[in-house]
Amino acid sequence: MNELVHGILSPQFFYSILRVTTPILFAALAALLSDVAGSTNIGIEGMMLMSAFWGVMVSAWTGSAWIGLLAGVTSSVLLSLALAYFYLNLKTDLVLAGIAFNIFSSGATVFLLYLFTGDKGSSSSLKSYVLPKIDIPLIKDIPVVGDILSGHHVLTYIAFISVFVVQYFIYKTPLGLRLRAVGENPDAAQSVGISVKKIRYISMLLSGLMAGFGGAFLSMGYVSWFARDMTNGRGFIGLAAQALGGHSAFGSMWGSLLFGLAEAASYTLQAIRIPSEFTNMLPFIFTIIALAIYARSKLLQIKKIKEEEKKA
Amino acid sequence: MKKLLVVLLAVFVVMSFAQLKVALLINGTLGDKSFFDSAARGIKMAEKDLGIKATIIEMGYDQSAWRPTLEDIADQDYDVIIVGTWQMQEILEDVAPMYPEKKFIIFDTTVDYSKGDLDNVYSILYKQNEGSFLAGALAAMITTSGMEKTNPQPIIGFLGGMDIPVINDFLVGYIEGAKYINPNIKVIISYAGAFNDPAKGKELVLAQYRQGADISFNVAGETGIGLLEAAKEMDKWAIGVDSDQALIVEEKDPDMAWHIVTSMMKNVDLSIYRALKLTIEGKCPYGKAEALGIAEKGIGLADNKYYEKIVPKKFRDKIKEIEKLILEGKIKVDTAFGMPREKLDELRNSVRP
Amino acid sequence: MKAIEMIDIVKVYPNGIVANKGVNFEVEEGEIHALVGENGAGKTTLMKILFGIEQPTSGEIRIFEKEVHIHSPHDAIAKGIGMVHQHFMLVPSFTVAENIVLGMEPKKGFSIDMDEAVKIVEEASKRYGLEVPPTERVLDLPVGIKQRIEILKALVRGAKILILDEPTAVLTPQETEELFVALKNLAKKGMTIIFISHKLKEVKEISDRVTVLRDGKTMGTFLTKDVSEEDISRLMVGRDVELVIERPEPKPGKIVLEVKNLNYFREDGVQVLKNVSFALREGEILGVAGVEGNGQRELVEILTGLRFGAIGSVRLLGEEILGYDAYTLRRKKIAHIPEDRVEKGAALKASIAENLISDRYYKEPFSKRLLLFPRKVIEYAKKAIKDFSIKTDSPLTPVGMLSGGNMQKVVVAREFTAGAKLLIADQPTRGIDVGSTEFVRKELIKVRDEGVAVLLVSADLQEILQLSDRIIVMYKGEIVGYFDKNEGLTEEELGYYMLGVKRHDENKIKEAFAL
Repeated sequence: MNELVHGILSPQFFYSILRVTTPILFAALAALLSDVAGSTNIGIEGMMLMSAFWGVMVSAWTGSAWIGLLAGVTSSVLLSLALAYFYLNLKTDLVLAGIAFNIFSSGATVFLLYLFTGDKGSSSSLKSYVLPKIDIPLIKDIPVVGDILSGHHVLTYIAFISVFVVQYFIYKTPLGLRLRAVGENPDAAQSVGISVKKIRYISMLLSGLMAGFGGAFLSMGYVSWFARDMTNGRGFIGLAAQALGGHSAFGSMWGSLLFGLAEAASYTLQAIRIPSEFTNMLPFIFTIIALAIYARSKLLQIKKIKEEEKKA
Repeated sequence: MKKLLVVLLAVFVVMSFAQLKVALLINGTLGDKSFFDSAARGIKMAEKDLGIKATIIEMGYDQSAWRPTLEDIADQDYDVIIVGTWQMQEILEDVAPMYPEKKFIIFDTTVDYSKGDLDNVYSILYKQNEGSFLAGALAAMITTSGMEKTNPQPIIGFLGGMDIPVINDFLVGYIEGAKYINPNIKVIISYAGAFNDPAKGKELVLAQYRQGADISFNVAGETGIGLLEAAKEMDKWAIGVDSDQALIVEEKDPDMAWHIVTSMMKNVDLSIYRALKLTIEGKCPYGKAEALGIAEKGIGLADNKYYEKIVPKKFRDKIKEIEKLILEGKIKVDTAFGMPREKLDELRNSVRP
Repeated sequence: MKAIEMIDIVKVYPNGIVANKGVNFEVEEGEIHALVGENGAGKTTLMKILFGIEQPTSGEIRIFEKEVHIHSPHDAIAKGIGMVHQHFMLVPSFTVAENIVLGMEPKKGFSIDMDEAVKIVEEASKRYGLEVPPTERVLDLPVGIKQRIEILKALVRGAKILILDEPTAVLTPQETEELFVALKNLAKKGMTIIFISHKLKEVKEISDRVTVLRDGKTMGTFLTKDVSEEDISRLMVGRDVELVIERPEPKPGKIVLEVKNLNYFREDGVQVLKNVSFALREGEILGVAGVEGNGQRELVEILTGLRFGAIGSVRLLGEEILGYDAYTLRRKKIAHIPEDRVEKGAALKASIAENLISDRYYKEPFSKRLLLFPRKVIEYAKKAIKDFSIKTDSPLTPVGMLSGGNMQKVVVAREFTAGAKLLIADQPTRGIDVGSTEFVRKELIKVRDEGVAVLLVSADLQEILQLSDRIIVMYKGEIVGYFDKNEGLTEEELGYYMLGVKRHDENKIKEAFAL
């Protein structure tokens, strides 16, 4: 019990929540940006993987982590535009195309990895670069709070800043308004001369951008290599986090933090011999509980009516 | 007539053994700094010492090419054909019975002999439990040694890919080895539930280090990359697995290599050399799987410059002493294969922090 | 000056259907011009061409006496043409102002200048006499206001010509009246208005001139005051049409359906049915009036086993049936003409014959054990096609190829021959032509006289008043009005109840149940 308290209440635990949340949050924002325009990007997982791969490769070739990041994000954006092309021009089913892209990315990254490095598991032999960590002046000197908030990877800060930017973008800018209009009623958008196709391309592109950051974080911050299928479902967890949060960037953030908390807790709990079968379930138990709370409020309402009916 | 045939055959057999023709088929490419390079090394050694004639064929990563290549090679005049890893298992099970006159060796996995007609296949397994025993003993010595990067608590870590028998075979040896040194040792055991999630591996090991572990053993495939990252980030120790992981990472990240005290290696090179030697001597047990341990030099700790520089001599001597005891049968290491769940749980609970 | 001239417009669709066979259409600036015709007469196609959604195969278009080519709605808007669609093109979660400025948002820095947007709306609203609440969400607004928003949307984009596609179909009489005042006002300001409608009474009331289309051709353009409703309908259909349907006195029998204290919460937690209670006897038609979206759809879906989770009691001939699925309910003799024939009423890719037996294919004579007898099915279908005068060349034609009216006849044919005790008819004549409407209404009276209990849900008040023996009015999920006979009842009076302005007291409403 002592260890539990020690494990959960340490600043490092809260620090790790933010780190674990980062890729999920990027994925959730990617999901959000595509979902508001009504074309949910199922290919986030694959885009993250692509970005993780190219980030490592290009940073190794150029010796610059920033150029690597640019390359990673670019690859993800290109993939998202390709998905948009399949969906909007070739009229394929978005979900099927998204899944196909995920499978493609999984295979293509391994193939390219082998082609460039002769390795197929990980980029172990490649000297790639990672993006820096940032200490926030002033905050870093505050005890506890400084330990939790300062010294994170630069992309972790970008993720949380993106929450505000995305929220502002969706709800305050003309383009955001059009995105939402297309998502809610494409006919309405069309009727005032907005090109639904163009807006969906833009939304998919922005989604790819966010997915790209998420992928680059995995291979250029979290760890310093690319490993086959290293996203391991984070794209899908991001989709779930967004679904929990609805059409709000803050909602997506809380959803992501919920998953991040559950995941970080599962790591710490495992270290003190809570069975891994149980701890690996934790993030999903959290989801179910969140949904149950939501459903419960509705049930209570119905119960109230029933009681009133009995009285009558 | 019949007699003549027997004589001719005998002559043929003797001639062919005079210079054994061997093919090593690599289902991938050389340069992996792991099993494949190691296998090639074994072949080179055999070429030099045993006078065999060998060919190494890189089949690449296109799985569809593996089977036809194996058949092509079997059609040619090689005597022994060597393949490796579980990915080749099924292919070999299909192909070997079609060439009963050829000999096949497969390493790091075993064919399913119950399928029959596999009398010409020799499977090499590695006693990872024995090697892990050494790793556990070393970890237990280091954690309370007062060396840099350590704390006084007798806590060590273990990162497994999944809670499955082959991974737990490492675990059983590791725990027993650690307890051999220090009966009060505590082991933090984490399973990632995946072999390809380095980020998760890193988080799990960071949590281990936070709980007081100062050295952790990586048995998690690509997930284990995260362990190495965590060791570097928190400035703690790591033990690699399968091949010499310090050598793999030193070029990419020298600092990281200096955090890997050693690796529990499967000596593919030595095991292949041994198998070929036995084949020439006519003593190689084809039609069977053999698990090679310390006695057969099938496994061992990587003895590289990092090991020598980082690990004090008295510890290295102690490891040698343990190796000897295992060799002499004075230490018997349990295996997770066939171990009842209760017994495994009991073992795990006995080292619970 | 002529606002619009469409000369010899021909439109052949890629599938070979000729929708316009040389239509001529001319509208003067500042007039209200009605465009009437049966479904499939080519009105929609003509307006799609004018609004740039479709391109004409041949013909010439002049706007304000200048020849133009309209390539897209965007193009049409730029040329001063605005369209108010039958289904509103609004984003429900947006505010009124957001909907109106969408696509032409005023900016302040990177943000939308919301204050400026509200100002634009308020100014336009004042100038054209169309009052709207700029900062409220469209979702919560009544249909009439939504329509005003649509009109404003066109006007702020500089529309000089307004096309209104069946604008009154979803309005209460009061809302219709307000719309007409606004339209006349706009015309006075020089706006040109094209008014598409089925309701000849309204055409007479609002328009200056009327153009009649039939079969893709112009039957003529008339000064509205010179022609009667009968004249117009004769031109539309090509024969005399009975606009008033005879309804003999009902002879109600025993109670078939009893609904008591029915409550229902939608998935989003909103209560859409509140203590709904009524009863229905055999041999009578109970009309359910109300503006759409006041719980009628949910009521029908619950009664027909398409929606679950309601609380209360529903009895069919004394047996509790709430929560049964559609299959079971059909076996218990409930027939259902759904509101949406395309989505729910028919399988579009299946043939007429297949659709006709889709609720009885497992019964004799159509099948026995595992075998289906196609010949019996086709025989039966041929008879139904004749009895219900479905216009088709073969019973094997996919239903999706039929016009709206004929598609509805297929649905009606199936449901009327199901041998039902209870027939639930949800908007049975929506969007079908005058001839088919007349037919369906007559059939409803006929089954009633054969002893079937009919629940008629309709947004068309004329239909409710013509056919119903008793009427309940729904407003926000509640029954707010009950009329045990409808003599002397007017559309206006019903409208007050539908808008929630008037309300019967508890005891009067309880009579709907206590027969």
